[in-house]
Amino acid sequence: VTAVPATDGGQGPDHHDTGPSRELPEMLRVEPITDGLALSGELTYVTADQLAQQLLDRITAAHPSVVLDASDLTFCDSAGLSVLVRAYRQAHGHGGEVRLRGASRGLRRTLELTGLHVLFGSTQGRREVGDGRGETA
Amino acid sequence: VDQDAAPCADGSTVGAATAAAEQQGAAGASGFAFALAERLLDRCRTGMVACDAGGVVRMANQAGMRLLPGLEIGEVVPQPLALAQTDEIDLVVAERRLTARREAFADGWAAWQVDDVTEHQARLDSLLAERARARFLADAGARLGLSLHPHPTARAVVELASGSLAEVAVVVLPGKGGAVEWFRCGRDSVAADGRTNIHSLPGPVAQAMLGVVGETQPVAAEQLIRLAGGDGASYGARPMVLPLPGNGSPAGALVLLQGPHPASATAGLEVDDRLLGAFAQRAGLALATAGVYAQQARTADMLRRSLLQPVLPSVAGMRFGAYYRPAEEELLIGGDFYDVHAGADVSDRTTFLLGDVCGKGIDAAVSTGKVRQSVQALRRLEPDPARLLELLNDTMLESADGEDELRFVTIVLGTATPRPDGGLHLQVAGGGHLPALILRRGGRVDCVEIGGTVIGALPGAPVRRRTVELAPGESCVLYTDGVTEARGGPDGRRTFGEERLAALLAGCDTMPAAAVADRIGKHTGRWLTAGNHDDIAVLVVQAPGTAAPAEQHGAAHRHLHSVYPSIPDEEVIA
Repeated sequence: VTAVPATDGGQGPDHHDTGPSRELPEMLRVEPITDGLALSGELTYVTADQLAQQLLDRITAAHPSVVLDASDLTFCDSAGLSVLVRAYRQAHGHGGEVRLRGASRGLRRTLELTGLHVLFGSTQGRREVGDGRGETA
Repeated sequence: VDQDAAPCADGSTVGAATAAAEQQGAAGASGFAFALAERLLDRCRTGMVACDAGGVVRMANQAGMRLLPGLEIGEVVPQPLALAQTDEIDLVVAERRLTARREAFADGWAAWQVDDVTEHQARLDSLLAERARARFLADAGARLGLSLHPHPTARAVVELASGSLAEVAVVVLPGKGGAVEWFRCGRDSVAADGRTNIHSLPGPVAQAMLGVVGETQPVAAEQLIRLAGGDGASYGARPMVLPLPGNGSPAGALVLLQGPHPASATAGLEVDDRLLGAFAQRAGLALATAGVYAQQARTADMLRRSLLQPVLPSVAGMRFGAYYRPAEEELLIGGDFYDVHAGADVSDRTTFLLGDVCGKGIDAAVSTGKVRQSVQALRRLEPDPARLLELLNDTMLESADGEDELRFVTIVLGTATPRPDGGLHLQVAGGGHLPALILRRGGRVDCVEIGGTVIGALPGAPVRRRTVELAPGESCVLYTDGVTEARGGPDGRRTFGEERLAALLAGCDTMPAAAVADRIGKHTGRWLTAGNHDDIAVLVVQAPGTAAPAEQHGAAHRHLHSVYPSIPDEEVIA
């Protein structure tokens, strides 16, 4: 890091990012997999309710545990974490657990910062790809 | 029956035939045809009058005689027809509206066809009047719906009324405890408004205000002189008072005064009780709606203001600076919050906190209010910040509204005590929040991970505690993820990030606390590409005293020391 980058932040004449790519970040795809759900896209304030419904419906006394494949989850904000915690509490209440698979570096960092990483038995196996979160020190 | 009308369809031909027949003395075989033509003409509803070159009536059918009383065969045609300048004229005879058309012949004769259009015209007039009324009421509806505050709505009512219904219009709105507000507008005068008391109003107006629903009541003009703000002499007859029906209770009263020329300024608009009633209803509804809305807006604003970020107190021995930018900027409130509670005296500890409730907007803001109030109460009982966060965790879990309302908070809460040397002794507890940045003398930036678990999500969640020592001039910077997750930069998607934030603050050790907070706010704002952003909050706690001139200012410009939470639960960072 050689300069304070904020001086050119977002004001450059050549930024070409106001197009469709700006709309995409709000998207979240939730797909059923054998033992849970696969998430791709962004889990945010905007998309959290969408996941909450599907995820919480799935955790029942008969099937108290669920796996979340977060390999393609690129972003998770506090509202997203809130859904994960609700899922944990529901699963825990039924004697089950929520396991997070393939969490990105960014998501792992968020979980550690908030102390919530202990709730989700993370399974390994994240393919480390750039997640566009700009950790470019 | 149809044959009655058939000859009239081309009346001029028949008329010409009649005149020609008479000229020939009505002799021979044409006598039968003449008699037939006469009978046909008499059955015709259109009046037919034939005049010779001298304007003397030579023939007229029955309809002609009936429509033009005073018409005599052998006399000069009656005046309106005799003096007609054009071949088609409208005239009113014996309260009937007629149109007369003249057909001239080559020999100087002329035939008049006269039709009674009274009913037709009446239908047309009422259609135009209805159209004007509908247009006026539609315009009124549109204008009255424009404002959601009673004052502009009342102004719209008097402007509309004085433009079309009366010379001068006054609206009186009820207030609390007998106070009333009035709004006045004249057709040619400037709008005015004021306040008075219900007891000083003319009787009928006061009654209308109280919802005594009468007919539209004529009132003695002189009673309304003061209200109308003019000399009473200039107003004509029939001042009226209309109650404006509201939502349950009356919305007010409308007073209308006619000028010397009571005709409406709006073409074709006939001002009658039906129109006044319809207007009063719309005006009343608009005023009532605006009243309800204004009250709700007032309530909402008061609640919102209770959730605004606090004005930072000035505390001896320490300085604070803050920056706040909610995601929903027009609300000015959001899910991020900070607070500073000054100690009772100089030796007492001061509590500071910064946090982020999950979610955005009003819901999140309401939660920040609860958290801030809880902390304010708990700090009096619990001096230790870590214990305080544990109590806060229990409090939040207890008061949670239900499984659907999981609102946890990431928070940093600390106490600051001035040191004898001018520095600050900070005890900081972490509830799963982002690391603090410490601006050291000489420009170095330390990153202090405080750790802990989010508050309000899990019973017995572990909280971590740290001690931070600030030398004079040094600062502790707390921020929310709205700063580090701000997206923008060259490709518009890159997050601002902790590294960039630390770099931004390197070398800022001589800045006052407020300037540091401002710098972060400004640069985050610049980094953000247009579009959504999260709530952003920054709180800077600074030990006062000019930092000693940085010895190696240039060299130490960019050092980032990170301390990761693999270290024991309690640690002193100095």
